[in-house]
Amino acid sequence: MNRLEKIFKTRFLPLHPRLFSIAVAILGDATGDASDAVQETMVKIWKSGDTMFSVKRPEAYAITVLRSTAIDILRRRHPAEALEKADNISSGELSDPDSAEFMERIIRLLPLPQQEVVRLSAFQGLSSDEIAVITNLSSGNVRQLLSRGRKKIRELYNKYVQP
Amino acid sequence: MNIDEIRLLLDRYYDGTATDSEIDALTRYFVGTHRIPADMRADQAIFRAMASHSQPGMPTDLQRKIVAATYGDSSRTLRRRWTFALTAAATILLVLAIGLSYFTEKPTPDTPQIAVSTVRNPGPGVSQEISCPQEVSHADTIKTLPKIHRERKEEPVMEMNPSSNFREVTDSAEVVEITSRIFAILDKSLSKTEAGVKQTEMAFALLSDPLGANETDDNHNK
Repeated sequence: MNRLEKIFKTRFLPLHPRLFSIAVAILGDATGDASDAVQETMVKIWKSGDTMFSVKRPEAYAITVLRSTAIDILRRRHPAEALEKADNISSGELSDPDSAEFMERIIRLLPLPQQEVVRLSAFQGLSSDEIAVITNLSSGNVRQLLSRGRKKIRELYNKYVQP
Repeated sequence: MNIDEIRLLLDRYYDGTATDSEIDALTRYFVGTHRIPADMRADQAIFRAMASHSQPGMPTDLQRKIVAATYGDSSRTLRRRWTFALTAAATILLVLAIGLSYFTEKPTPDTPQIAVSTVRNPGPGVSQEISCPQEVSHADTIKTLPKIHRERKEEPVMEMNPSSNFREVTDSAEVVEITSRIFAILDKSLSKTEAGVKQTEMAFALLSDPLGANETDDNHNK
């Protein structure tokens, strides 16, 4: 086992369950994107080579790489979903608005930064400060994004739950 | 918790300033209460949806995929490169061994002599003091290969001392050249051996049947 392999196995590979949780929070769990994002993140870290030795906080570094990767995936996904405007959600999907799946569809209609913080809050139960650490935003910015996102979700819910 | 307190907490929630415990209180209220004001039905759906969310299980093969895509892949690539390098090195060593063993053997009168070129400008690490039976340039050796074979019988057979005729062959083109010559010599030797076997058979025939041998000899001479 060479030095790179050893440091990767001891410092970064054990982080993958935690990264998966964050990836699910950012991307949702409706598709296999979270799993792909974690794998892609690990490959990027592995390919960084000697940079792995100079990283003082492996988890923070891995989360930063993961966020970048996940946002790229969201951007690739977003153009297709732009067609899926709120008005296009079929009435059949209104059958269970109490479900997490329905809420996930609503969240996907938000701007990307709002999607990320709302998911981390709503589905992972993280506080604003914890979200700030993961997203590398200030707590004030996180609260603002949360506020806008939650209000937009409520607006969309009102449209479907109380037509 | 009365409805006014719930409305107050909801305002804090939508302002992004609610604490974890306040969000927990809202969740308990909306999940556990069936009769709520009509203007709060959307809020109830939102909190119930959040509460119903279950963390998806991590794919069991995720770690295996990560390993395969990172150092697992690297190890396989490394093994393939080592295998290729070792195979190439073994092939070169084999060719060199065949070539060198030929040039270090003491020649017999029947063994064809081949002039081995001397590298006029040897590369680093090659001794300038290497001696050879005949000093010709490498290019000349390649160009005059057929001529060397034709003039072989006219050249005096030189006494070859194995130690003095040994030299290191570093040029890959020369190695190929030497190898091809070895194959040519082996081919010629094989032809001679076949002829020798035929002559031996004829000699046995003469000894075993002297009378018939005259006829055979006549026929052969014809």
